[in-house]
Amino acid sequence: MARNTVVREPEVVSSSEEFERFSLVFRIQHIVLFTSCIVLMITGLPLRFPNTGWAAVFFNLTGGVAASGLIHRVGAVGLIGVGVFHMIYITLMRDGRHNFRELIPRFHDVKDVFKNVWYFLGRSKTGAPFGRFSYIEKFDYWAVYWGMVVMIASGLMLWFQDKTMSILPKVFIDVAREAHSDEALLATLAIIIWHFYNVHFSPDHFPMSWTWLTGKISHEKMIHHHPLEYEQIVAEREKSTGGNGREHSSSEAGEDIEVVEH
Amino acid sequence: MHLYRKLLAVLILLLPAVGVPALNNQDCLTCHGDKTLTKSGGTSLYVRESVLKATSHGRLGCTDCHVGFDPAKMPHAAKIQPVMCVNCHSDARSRHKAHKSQVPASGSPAQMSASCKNCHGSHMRKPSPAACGTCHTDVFKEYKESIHGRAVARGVKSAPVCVDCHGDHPMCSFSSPESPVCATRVAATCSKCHASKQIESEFGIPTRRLETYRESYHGIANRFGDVTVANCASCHGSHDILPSSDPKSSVNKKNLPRTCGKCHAGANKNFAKGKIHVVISRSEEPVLYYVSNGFKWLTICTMVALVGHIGLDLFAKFRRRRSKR
Repeated sequence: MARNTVVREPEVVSSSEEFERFSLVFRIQHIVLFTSCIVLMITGLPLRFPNTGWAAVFFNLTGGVAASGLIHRVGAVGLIGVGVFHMIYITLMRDGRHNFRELIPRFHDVKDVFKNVWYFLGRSKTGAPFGRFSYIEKFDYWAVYWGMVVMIASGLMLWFQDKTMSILPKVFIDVAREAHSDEALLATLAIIIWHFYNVHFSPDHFPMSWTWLTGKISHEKMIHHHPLEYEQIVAEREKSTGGNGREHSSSEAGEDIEVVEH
Repeated sequence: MHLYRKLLAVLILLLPAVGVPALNNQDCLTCHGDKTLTKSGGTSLYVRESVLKATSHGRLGCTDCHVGFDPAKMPHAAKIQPVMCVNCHSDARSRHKAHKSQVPASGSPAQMSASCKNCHGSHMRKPSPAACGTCHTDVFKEYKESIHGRAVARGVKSAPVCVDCHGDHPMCSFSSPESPVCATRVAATCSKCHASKQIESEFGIPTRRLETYRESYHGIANRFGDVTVANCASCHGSHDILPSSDPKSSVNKKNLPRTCGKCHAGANKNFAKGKIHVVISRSEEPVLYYVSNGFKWLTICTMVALVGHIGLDLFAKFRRRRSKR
C-alpha cells in the first residue's frame, strides 16, 4: 500500500530473501476460518434471500433446508473451533501475542487513513508507511473479530433455540435471528469487496497474494508494503550481528536511507 | 358427398326424439314443484327450482339425467331408471381416491352413481359440512365449535365449509402432496381468505399473516419443502380453529407453551412473550426495529467507506501508471 517509502539498504538482508509473514499456526487458522465461512455462507445466505432463484438452487445443491442446516452446523463447529483456538493463540502463544499486539488499533492508524487518502488524491507524494499490519489489515482483522462474536453468540442462541427460549422471551430469538442474518450479509460483503480487493483483485496482487499459503513475503513486497516492519527487522538483526564495534552514527544511518519510488 | 352422409346420420338419430313429445323442466315442475308431492312412503318428491338452478347442474334439463319412462304417460311410472351419474362423470373413480368408501374401486356404475348423492345431494349441491359430517362425525363436531363452523351456522357466506379448504377433486388425504391442506400447500390455502384484504377488513381479522409466516424460519423452510416445520395448522389447529382471544384456542397466550411444545421440547411461558407473526416496525417490535436498522446503516456506511477507499486506491494507481508512461 505504501508506495513511496524510506528504506534502509543494509548488509544484513539480501534482496532475494523471503521474510516469514505468517507462521504455520497462523495460516492453518486462516484456512479453517475461510473454509468454515464458505460452508456457512453457502448454507446460510439462501435463508436470507428466500425469494431469489439462486436460493432454491443452493437448497437443491445441499439437499434441502434440513440438510443445509446440518452442513451449516458443521461449518459452525469449524468457526467456533478456530475462534476458541484463536483466543488461546493470542494469549498463550508467543507468535499470537506478538501478532495481536501489532493488530491493536493505534492513533497512528487514523492518521494513516488520512495520509493515504491524501496521497490517493494526489495531494502528497507519499502514502502512509506501514508496520507489520496496515489499517487495512487491522480493519479486516477486527471486522472478522466483531463478526465472529456476533455470529457465534447469535448462532448458538439459534442452534439451541429451545434452550434459549426456555430462559429468554421470544424477542431475543427474533433479535438473534435478525443480527445473525444481517451480520452474515455485512461479513460477506466485507469479505467479497474489501478482503478480496486487498488480496486478490488489487493490481498489486492479482490474481492473489500467495502469502496465505506460503507464509512468505518477498523482499520487494516487504519494503513496498511494510517498510516500518522491514526497518525494525533490519535494526534487530544489526543489533544482534553487527552490534559490536560497528556503530552507526545518526549521520551514517541517515546516508543509508534511500527514497524508493514505486 | 361426405357432408351429406353426415347430415343423414344426424337426421336418423333425431327421429326417435321427434317421435315423442319433448319434456322441458317446466313440464316436470308442474307436479314436482308441488311441496306436498310425496312417494307412497312419505319421501318428498318436491324439487325446489331455485336450488336446482344454483347448482352446477342448473343448466341441464331434468330428462338429461332422469330417464327410462314414457313421457306420453303422465304421471309416469312410480319407479323410473336410477340416475347414472357416471354416464357423464366417467372419471369419478380417479377423482375420489381418498374416498374409497364412497366410490368403491370395484363397484358397478349403478353402485357408484348411487353413492354420489351421499355427498353431493341429489341435485349436485356443494357438499355441506353436515353431509361430510355424516361419516366424519368427530371432525364435524370440532368444526361446529370452531370459528369457521360457527360463522357458517350464522349464515356467513364467505366462511369456509369442508371443501373450501380440502378442495373438491381430487379429494385426497392431507398427507398427499396433491391435497390443498398438505403441509406444503396449506399456507396458500388459508391465505385464499387470510391474505384477502376484503375478508380481513370485513371480519376485522389480523392482517399480514401469510407475509409474516413466509418471512419466518418456519415459512422459509416450508417453502423449500421441509414438512417438519410448523405450518398454519400446526399452531392454529385445523377443524378446531379458534381466535387467539378464545381461552380454548391453541394460540391463546396461555396455551402457547403447550402448542409450541409439540415441537419445541421444554417450551414454557417465555414462548408466549412476544409475537409469533413478527412485523418489524417501530411501534410493534421496537427492539427488533432498531437492531435491524442499526445493521442496515452499519452495512451501508461500511460499504460506502470501503468501496470509496478501493475506488480512490485504483484511481491513484491508474493515475500513477499514466504519468509513468
